[in-house]
Amino acid sequence: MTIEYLLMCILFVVIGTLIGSALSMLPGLHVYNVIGFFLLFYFTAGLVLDSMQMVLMLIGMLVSYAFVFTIPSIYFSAPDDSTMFVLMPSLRYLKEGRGHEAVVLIATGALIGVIAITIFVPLFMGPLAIVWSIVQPNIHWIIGAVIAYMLVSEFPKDFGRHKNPLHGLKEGWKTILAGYLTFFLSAILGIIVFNKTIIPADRAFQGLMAPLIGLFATSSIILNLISKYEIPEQNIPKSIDAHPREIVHGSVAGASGGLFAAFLPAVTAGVGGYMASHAFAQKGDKSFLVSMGASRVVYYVGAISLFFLPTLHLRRGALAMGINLFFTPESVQQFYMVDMGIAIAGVISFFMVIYASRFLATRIYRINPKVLNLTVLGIVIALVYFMTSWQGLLIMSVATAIGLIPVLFNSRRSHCLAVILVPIWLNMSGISLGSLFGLW
Amino acid sequence: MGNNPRNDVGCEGDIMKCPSCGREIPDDTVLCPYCTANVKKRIRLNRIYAVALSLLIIASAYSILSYAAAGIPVTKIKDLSMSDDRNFVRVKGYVVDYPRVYEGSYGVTALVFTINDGTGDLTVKIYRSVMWKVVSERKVPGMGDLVDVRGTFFYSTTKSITLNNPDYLVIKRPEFSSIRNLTALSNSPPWAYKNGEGIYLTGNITGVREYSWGYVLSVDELLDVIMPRAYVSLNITNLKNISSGISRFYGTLEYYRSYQPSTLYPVYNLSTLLSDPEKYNGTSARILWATVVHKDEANNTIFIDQNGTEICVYVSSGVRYYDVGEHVELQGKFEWFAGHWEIAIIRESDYIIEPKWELIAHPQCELVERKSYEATTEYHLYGLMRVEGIVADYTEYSSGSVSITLYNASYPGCVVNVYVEHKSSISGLLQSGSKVVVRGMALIYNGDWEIKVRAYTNDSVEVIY
Amino acid sequence: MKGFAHFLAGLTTATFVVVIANMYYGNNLIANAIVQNKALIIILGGIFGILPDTIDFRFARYIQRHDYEVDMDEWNIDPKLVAETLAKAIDQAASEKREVNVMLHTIKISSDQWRQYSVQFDTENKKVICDIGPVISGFEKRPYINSYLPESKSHAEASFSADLKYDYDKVTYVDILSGPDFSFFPEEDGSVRADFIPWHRRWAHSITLGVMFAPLGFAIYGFTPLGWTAFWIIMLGFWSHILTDHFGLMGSNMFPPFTTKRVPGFKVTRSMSTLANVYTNYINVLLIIFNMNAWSPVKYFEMPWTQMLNISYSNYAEWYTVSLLNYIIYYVLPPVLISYAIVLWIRRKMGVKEMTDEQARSAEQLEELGGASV
Repeated sequence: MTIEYLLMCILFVVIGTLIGSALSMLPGLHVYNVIGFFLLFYFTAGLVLDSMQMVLMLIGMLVSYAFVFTIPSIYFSAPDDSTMFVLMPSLRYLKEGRGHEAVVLIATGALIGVIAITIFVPLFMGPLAIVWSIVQPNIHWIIGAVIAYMLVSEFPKDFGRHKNPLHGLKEGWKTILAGYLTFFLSAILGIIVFNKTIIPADRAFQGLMAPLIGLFATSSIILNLISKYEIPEQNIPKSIDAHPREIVHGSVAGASGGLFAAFLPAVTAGVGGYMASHAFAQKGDKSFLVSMGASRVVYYVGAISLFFLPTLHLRRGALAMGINLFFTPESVQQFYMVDMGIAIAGVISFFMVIYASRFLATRIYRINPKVLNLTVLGIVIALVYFMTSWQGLLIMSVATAIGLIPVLFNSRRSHCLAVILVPIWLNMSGISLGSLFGLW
Repeated sequence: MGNNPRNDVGCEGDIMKCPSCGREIPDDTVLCPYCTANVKKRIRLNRIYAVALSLLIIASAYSILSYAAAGIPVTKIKDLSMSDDRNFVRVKGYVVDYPRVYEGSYGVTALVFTINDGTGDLTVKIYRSVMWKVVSERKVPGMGDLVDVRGTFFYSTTKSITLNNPDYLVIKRPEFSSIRNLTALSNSPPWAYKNGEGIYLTGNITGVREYSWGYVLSVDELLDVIMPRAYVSLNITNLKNISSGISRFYGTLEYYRSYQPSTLYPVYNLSTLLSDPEKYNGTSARILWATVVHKDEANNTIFIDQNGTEICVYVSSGVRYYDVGEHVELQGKFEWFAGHWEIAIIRESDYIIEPKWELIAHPQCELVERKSYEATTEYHLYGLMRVEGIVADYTEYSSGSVSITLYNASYPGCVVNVYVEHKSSISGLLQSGSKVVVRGMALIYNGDWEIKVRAYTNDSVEVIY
Repeated sequence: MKGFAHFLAGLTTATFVVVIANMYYGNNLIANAIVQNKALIIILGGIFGILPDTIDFRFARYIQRHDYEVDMDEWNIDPKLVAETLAKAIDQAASEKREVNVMLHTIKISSDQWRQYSVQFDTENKKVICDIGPVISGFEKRPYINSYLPESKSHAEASFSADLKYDYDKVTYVDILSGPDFSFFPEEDGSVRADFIPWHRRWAHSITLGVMFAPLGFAIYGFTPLGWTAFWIIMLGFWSHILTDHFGLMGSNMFPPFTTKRVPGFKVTRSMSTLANVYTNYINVLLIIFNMNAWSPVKYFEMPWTQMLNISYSNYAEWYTVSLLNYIIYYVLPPVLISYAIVLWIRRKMGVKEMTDEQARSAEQLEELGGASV
């Protein structure tokens, strides 16, 4: 390898990071959709681009997304699947004028996530490969256990006031049943989407875009529209209110959850982070915010690291699968280059987030949240229409209706992830419900 | 709402701004009354920035590592184990089988060949897009090639490696030496050449038979050339093209036995056996190379000669297949029978075969001299002819071949014998009395001229009416 | 212990049952059903491992009847009411010789703001003391320092005459989500025993109920080897919950309806601390991985001791036991011990105080009340 080649690689990482940062500022837009576009372009145009450099550019985009998503999720509040368990604390921070502080906390978590990936993943290369070999034949019941835990761990939120046992049961079970309903409906939506080609066949690679945007983005935008809130003027602090212990706790929990999600199929950062927050007995907003950033980064970026990791080569997440269409990870050298790319993109994205947040924090209060949310809604609908045509919009509206159930009944939004979890789990357990829906 | 903390802030002492929410708070508070943030114990942003910049150290460490990382070392096949599953490995070895293709309803999906480096076998798989790139770069291997391949290793009951990039396949072809005398080659004993020896030869394709694994091309009716299906399916070899004249074939020699004998029985020379027959009485012997010198169909016996020593061989069934002058390999019981020593082929493990040298074709096969179908009445051996005539008689065989007797007054005897290798070459409904146009190759069969319509070539029988 | 730890402990128990059932039936029967036929039998362990808490928090709490409920809001804060109701309930339990229950509701202000108040039983001076605290924010329980009420409005005491036995932390804080409830039981000697969150860790956390649930395994799989395995998975999975809970101070009521009191715990963990949860989960995950490897037809790792002692798979029980011991000593314990030593060192350096038994007992109950619903 020549120095020129290495410098070119670094250049492509930087380009990817800049493109990714710019696009990730748009609320509701997932980097995987953008990457799908890029890949399409790469294949059809037959770009004369070294495949390794293309990979590094895509990695730059992914890393920047895992950092920069913080901006829309804090300031524009259009969270995707993995942001929902943090929505509450971040909204609280925003209300208190501490939006930038929340961004810094999440970015710090993400930063520690990147450091963890680049340092620890190569160290645990051998054990990870062994564990994956052991887990592989048992994966159906492990995913099943994840689903079972999501269902049995929903607890009543009735604050204990009831007239008689029956009344109490009714009050307490309202949220639980709403959660189960969400889970059930999302699962059915997922099974249909996975088994039937509803959107035009040439867009099939974006098949999950419409349901995910409907379940997580549009439903919360609608909530933002109907609820009354104002974004106050934000302060730009020079220090943040956190104890090192909270940051360590949050990042360890988040990184574990992210790794869990990156390691297992069907499990996403939201579910992984949720399970990790229970496993690490997490409490407190700061720890949550930090773990949020860490789990997202470790989920998205860790998946790529695991893909390139010698002896493992797990294909998890849309990027790994997309890259695998034109590239197969080969040498340790490539793994080093990928880790180099992750680290460089991590530094750039971190400061990108901080400065973008500083820029927005002083201007955000001038923006009418209603107008903002309506704009975001418009962008999201246009995107879905553009990518998946009117059939996609249809799926999105159904998904939005399902996504509103947890919002209105105060149950857990992670139940919406049944849209991915259940179909994949059924597939792994050899249960074919798809034919049931294929009848009509 | 009198208790709501947001309404009344005690304004004693100096005023400062809460570092978290920016509102004015008393100087001496520890917790901000508005946002509950701790005002005193905080982490400075500069420290976090420093942590972020430390990533640059990691980045440069990895860039140095990737710059310094060496290429992939060659691994021995026996050393590849489960722990290398899905790893990227580099292996060097000889192609031991001819390449195969997998064909589905969507065309060719994969090219597969097996290599051996002396420590074990490894299957190399090349899929779709990579496969077509390999084809266009003319890198499809032939049997006996030395290949250096890098790819993703998959461990299962058979070890395999998947090629991801055509650049990672480097082929070193054997030296091909010319062979001019095909007759000598086809009559050569097994020790005359080495298995896997690279040669090239020129000749006419005089027959084509199809099998699941490929085509057997008969060259000048003397030597069989094995054309793996892979080359035809991947459009590397065009049968129609190379059969339209004299072609040059490259490949490696292989001594083909129709029956793979067990190596249990020892090989003897006839002279050894007959020098001390009592000692060898009753032994099971393998005779590797002998010539049939006499045939007695009535007694189911043949007489074979090996370097001047002759012996009688009793063949329990199928003696009629072994004609005088042919070379045979056999295995049977050496015993005294009816007043002479003979080898009896009776038991199930005994056999008699006519092994011969074959050429396993390499992909680079070319047409040297094109011939065209000529409408002459003069027969030239291996000449391509176009003959018109009326079908006087025809016979269809169960194997799919058809023999036709054509009436045409301009040919000697007013008759042309046509042999169609496969009936798919006939277009239209063949009937006695039909007028046909035959394109085929002139050959001598049983002493007579014959037009052979070879399968899978441009040869054809066209029924006019 | 958090629900997640119980769930994992249940799964771990299930994997052990599968290993033993495999030994019993031979031919790798149960493992093949799981790996090849994709049986989901192990999940039963997790579900029944978390079930005791599910029953308590989703059903048992609603059955609990309250004689008194103290339900204040931000505009009607009355510490005297709290103190007097509790004192009255104590005396009533003594005089009427029956169980009296008091429910203390939380004071919610906004979606993430609550008013905190505390209750203290002074058993020596026979007084109930109630103090109204500040408004706090969310799960972090950060106080808004300007929201403290003046002493006169926030402090009240009430006296009672019965002898009170109270084993928990002296001060109980009522703040977020659901409030705690107290039960007062008359004792044989005329005194009154106070119980904190009385519906928790009673009949649902019992050996008896585990036995009753176990036949469900046959309902799912019939009287097949899988059915018997499910039977044991459900029963032992359920018991695993009780066992893990027993490492704390509280313990559980093991054999209702034959017993009524909780059996005290082993007092291994001082509180439902983060550390206890993390260690439990770590150990469980490692054991699950070990068991999956043990029943896999291909062994992905081998422990050195089996090779040293020259034990082969044919002697499966021995091979398994030696491997497990080796695995625990090599991989499970060292990280736990080392990290715990570091934590202890940091704690000593920072001067973090250990909780008293009483405080730990209260924390255990409150943690689950608030923590389980997060």
